[in-house]
Amino acid sequence: MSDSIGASDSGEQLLRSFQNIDLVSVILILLGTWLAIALVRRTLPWLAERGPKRTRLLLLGTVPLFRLLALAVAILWITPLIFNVTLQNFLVIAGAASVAVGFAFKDYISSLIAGVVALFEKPWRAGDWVKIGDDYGEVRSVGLRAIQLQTLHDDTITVPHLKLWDSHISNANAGARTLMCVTDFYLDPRHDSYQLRAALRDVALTSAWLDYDRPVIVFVEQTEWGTHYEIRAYPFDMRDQGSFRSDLTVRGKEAIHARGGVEIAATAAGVAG
Amino acid sequence: MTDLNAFEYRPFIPLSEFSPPPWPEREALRMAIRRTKRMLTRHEERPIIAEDRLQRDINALNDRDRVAPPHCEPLFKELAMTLDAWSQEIRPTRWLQLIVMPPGYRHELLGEWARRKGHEVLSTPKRETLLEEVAVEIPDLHGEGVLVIPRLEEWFMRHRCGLEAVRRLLEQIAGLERHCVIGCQSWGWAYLGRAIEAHLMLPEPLTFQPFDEQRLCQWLANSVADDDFSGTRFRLRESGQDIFATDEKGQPESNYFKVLAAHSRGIPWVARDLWRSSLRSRIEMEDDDSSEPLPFEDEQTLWVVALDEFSLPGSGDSRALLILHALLIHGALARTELERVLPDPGPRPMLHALLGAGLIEQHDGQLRIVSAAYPAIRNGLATAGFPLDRN
Repeated sequence: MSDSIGASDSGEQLLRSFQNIDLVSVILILLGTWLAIALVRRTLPWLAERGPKRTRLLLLGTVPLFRLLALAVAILWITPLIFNVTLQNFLVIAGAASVAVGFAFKDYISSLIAGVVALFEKPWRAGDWVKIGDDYGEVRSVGLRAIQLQTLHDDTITVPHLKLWDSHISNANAGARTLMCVTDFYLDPRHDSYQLRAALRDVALTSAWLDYDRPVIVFVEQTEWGTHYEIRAYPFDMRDQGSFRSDLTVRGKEAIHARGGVEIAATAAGVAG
Repeated sequence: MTDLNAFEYRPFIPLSEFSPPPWPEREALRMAIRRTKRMLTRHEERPIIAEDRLQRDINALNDRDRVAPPHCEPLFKELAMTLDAWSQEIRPTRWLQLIVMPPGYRHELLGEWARRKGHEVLSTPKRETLLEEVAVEIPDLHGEGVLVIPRLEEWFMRHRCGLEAVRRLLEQIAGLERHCVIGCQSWGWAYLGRAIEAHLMLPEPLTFQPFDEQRLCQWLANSVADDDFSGTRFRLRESGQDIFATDEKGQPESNYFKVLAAHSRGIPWVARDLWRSSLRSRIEMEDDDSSEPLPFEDEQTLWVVALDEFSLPGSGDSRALLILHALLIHGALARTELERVLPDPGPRPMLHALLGAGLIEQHDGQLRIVSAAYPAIRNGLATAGFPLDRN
């Protein structure tokens, strides 16, 4: 009998009595937070697509930061309305939450925490082009639990933040407005490399998508299956990377054939001349 | 009226010092609101011609001007102020002068200067020869007197074979001990700086000083007098104010020319075309149902409507922007040449749309941008992230 009274007392100390909880305020705070987050999630990406390109990444990157801030404010606001905030109560809540999380929502909570860490470490931001595992695409949105990638083939891939802990993440632009595009050519080694390198450089320099402020490099190496040329150049807008690489490929092939070069197809199985 | 003889001629300045006239605060605010509103209400699928503002009914004055726009005489004088003394020096501190101008000027400023002064002009190669695998031969440039190359942008094409001729030309010029003046359009110059590092071979470019409110008002007042419109009053449609009226200090009373200078980025031919496209005759004012007599009926009046900002097609279609960018870099191109410098074949449907919208025009088989649309085109390209010129 005395045990049950003690438990009831600690319950009353932990939670405010039902009559003392301002339910209207709690509901209004939750509703307001949800509305603000929904509004920002819809408005900023919409504005980012319509406004100047230079502000696009800034607007997209603001969405997850705002959401984190709004949630933190809402939690800090609601907690004292429901709980009697003391050190003892905090330890009770933390202990109970740890058990629940440990057994039921381990991966989910891990993803949430990774999402918060990602906001500060910035392995990806909205608008970045990243490769996670075999998936390469633009980060279209950064959610609480996962990010969404849009690939060059227009597929949408959802990747949980959890990947941050154990995967290699390759970020092609890291917040910049452009990224390096690499276009490869494999040639039969019997040709004038000096001339061909200059011709491929002109191919890049005459592309309509070229970013004038970034370098153009033609990298050449001799491999066991032939001469490998890489055009490394930047488009002025990273979303044009597909068009840019196609343009370099088509005109690069034209330049190679005009200079008497012969392309070879290198595969894992061997080389076809 | 403005003192017609008071035009202040100023020598050319380094391109890096060129700064377009600022917007008046109120107009800047209005412009920002208009642009924001347009951005928020933009439909990506809207037809390109629907927003056309250049094809409005314009009077005979504009039609005549469209066919044969007059020379910008003050520019000749300012160019002469800049180059005449240098061209007569026996051993100048530098043999080369580079003049970079914004696009849209239909005449050859440098070519005309050379013709008036009797200087040698280097003829440009045919564009199709620039695309051959074997580069064109550059003639021997040594000789006496001043050599003028009026349009450097006609010496290259943005094509994998199209840079060799201009490379060879500049290599020859860089070592030349002879007076040589090179003219280039600002977009072509920006491109050459990247593509062949032309800025390392040529001196710092010079350009005219921007036409601010005062200079524009004086120049346009002069050109109105030259065009036999001296008896005509040019009044703002909203207030009836005479745009050429000046206060005791000789400053224009209205802020029309301040807005025009900012709108045109200080480029005189753009300002003139914008101004002319904003002129309306009295008949065009009678579309309202008012039965009251129009003011100033007893005088010959042309009405000046508010300057519109042209808008480009929705950002969803980059083909239009690619065409406009290519035309800005090359100055003027035939259709077949344009196809060679664009990444995707088949720009013709979009070309028709741009022609219909009044953003580009065709003369003698050559396509070029309409100068009145230049500020909007530049703004559109900047918004889309395209590389820009420095003017």
